[in-house]
Amino acid sequence: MPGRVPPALHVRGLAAGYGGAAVVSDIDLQVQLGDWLGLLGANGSGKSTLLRAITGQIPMLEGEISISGINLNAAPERAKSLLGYAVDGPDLPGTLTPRQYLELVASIRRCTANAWPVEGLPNHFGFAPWLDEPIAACSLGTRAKVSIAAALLGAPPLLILDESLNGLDPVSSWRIKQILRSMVAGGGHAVILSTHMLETVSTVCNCAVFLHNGRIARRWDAAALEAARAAPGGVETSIMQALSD
Amino acid sequence: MASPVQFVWRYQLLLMRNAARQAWACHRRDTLVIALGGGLLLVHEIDVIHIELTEHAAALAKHGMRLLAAGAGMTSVAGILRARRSVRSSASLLSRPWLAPLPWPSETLAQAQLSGCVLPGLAQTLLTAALAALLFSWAGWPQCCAAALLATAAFATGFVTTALAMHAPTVGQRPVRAVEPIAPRFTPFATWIAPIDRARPAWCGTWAVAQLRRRSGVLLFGSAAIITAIGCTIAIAQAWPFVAVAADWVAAHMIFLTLLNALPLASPALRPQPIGFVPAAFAMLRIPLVLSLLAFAGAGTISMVATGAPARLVAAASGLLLLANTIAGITAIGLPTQRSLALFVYVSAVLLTLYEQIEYGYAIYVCLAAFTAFMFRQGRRSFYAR
Repeated sequence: MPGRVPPALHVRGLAAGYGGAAVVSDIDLQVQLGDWLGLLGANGSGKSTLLRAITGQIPMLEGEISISGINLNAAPERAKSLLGYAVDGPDLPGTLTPRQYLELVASIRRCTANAWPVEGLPNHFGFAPWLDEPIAACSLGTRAKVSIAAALLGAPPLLILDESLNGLDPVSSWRIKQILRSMVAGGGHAVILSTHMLETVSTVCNCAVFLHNGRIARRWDAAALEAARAAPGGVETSIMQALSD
Repeated sequence: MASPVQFVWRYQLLLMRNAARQAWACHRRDTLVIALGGGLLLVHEIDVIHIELTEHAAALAKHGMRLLAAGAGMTSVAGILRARRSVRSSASLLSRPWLAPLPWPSETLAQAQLSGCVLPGLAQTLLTAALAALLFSWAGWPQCCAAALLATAAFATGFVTTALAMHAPTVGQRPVRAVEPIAPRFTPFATWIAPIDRARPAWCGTWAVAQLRRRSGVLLFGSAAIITAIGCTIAIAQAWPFVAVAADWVAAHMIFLTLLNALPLASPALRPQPIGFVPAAFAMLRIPLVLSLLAFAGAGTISMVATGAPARLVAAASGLLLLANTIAGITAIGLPTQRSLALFVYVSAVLLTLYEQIEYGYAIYVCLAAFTAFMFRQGRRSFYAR
């Protein structure tokens, strides 16, 4: 259909894993602009593996991934330019400073090192004093903030956070959620958040999927989450039911 | 609860089992390429060594005692080096932060550190014995078993004495770090090269170079400086321009090899970024390449002035340096997480090519080109996760 906006992420029949063995399989997923998807699942259920496949870090064994209509396999650079991935804190280059890391990401994304949706993000997130210290000297929380700040550089349409809000202080966590919420509300962005914090899903996500043994075992669309929210603790109860089933 | 000694042994067995599992979990295609390609190459090289030793058996026999002493000396040094590595690896294992809360006395930890050398020591001694027996028998050595035994004893003596000498109760006393070492190891150097590392993608050179160990860097840089100094002194004294240029070349290439590190190519911080393989790979080579060529340009100019080396010779050597650096760089890119292995593979490939050139002429360079192309393909595949 001409003029139709492609989904921020379209995953069809994905199987991916390590050393030729599938860890996740039969994954069909669509995330529209304006969606905030909560990715849930027990430890080892395949959440991080799925996100690594979506960000082109591990081989796809089957299926197809499109980011804003661009096939990841056919045009990896173009597809990756449309996503921002908050790297796990320990994976950041410890020998660089946060400033150097942000400049590295900005130079690759061909934007300035302060092209954030909010001005003065290091001050806002509270890592400005650490900008010129080696990342290895930063706490895990500071690393997570630097990582999220790097993912936000150039404001790509799809933002992927792999348990990045874990370990953040409440103020920073709230501020980050506020920024992401306003971006999603604008309709030009989508967020995928893998987390174990059910209250986060309950408060910010408008859809969620639950992974079990590498497959999507349950989905909640906007209507289902809204219905669950009607009762106090309803979302948590619904998710806990899925977990215990 | 297991004692530290039991822990070290179990952990080593676990590491071996994991390594075997990882090798088995490789793509079948990769396993086939490694097993068939590497296997064929190994068989060929063993055959070459066999032929060379058999052919030169008479010449070797003339220098019997001297060669035996040299062989024993070499295996003894190998034993010392292997023991140092084993002790360090064992000590590093026992200094992990997650072991710190366990109530193990430092004397027991030191004992465990020594026990950690037993398995690798035994395996390496057996390997030395087998290799020595094979080489001495191929060389037609009289009483080859006794000679092999002597080489093995030299290795074992070097290993055991070093391991015992390093057996100090340092493990438990070492302060345990909760996080990785904080300061970048190459900070001053990284700061110095910073201005040429701002091109897109910025800071990749600093990232790669700063990960290198200061000690090995100083060692290689020191060797490069010594080689240049000796080469230039001889060349100036004897008016041998070729020697001067060759020394400059070796030193410049060593600078490149010292600074070469492609590990960031495998980093989750770089791979989800919208950058192609070629610019990302080039970013890893940029700083080493620039510094190597600058070093050669400087030293080459001095050689030209001091020894009257023709400009044509220096220009040809520059081209060769660029080529050698490119091949080494591509090998490193093909094995981004295995820096030492990449260096070993590169040096072996070059030495093998030079040796085989005697038999096959320049046609052998086609194989070197194919090898380089294969490494490039491997690097590209792993970067794009295909």
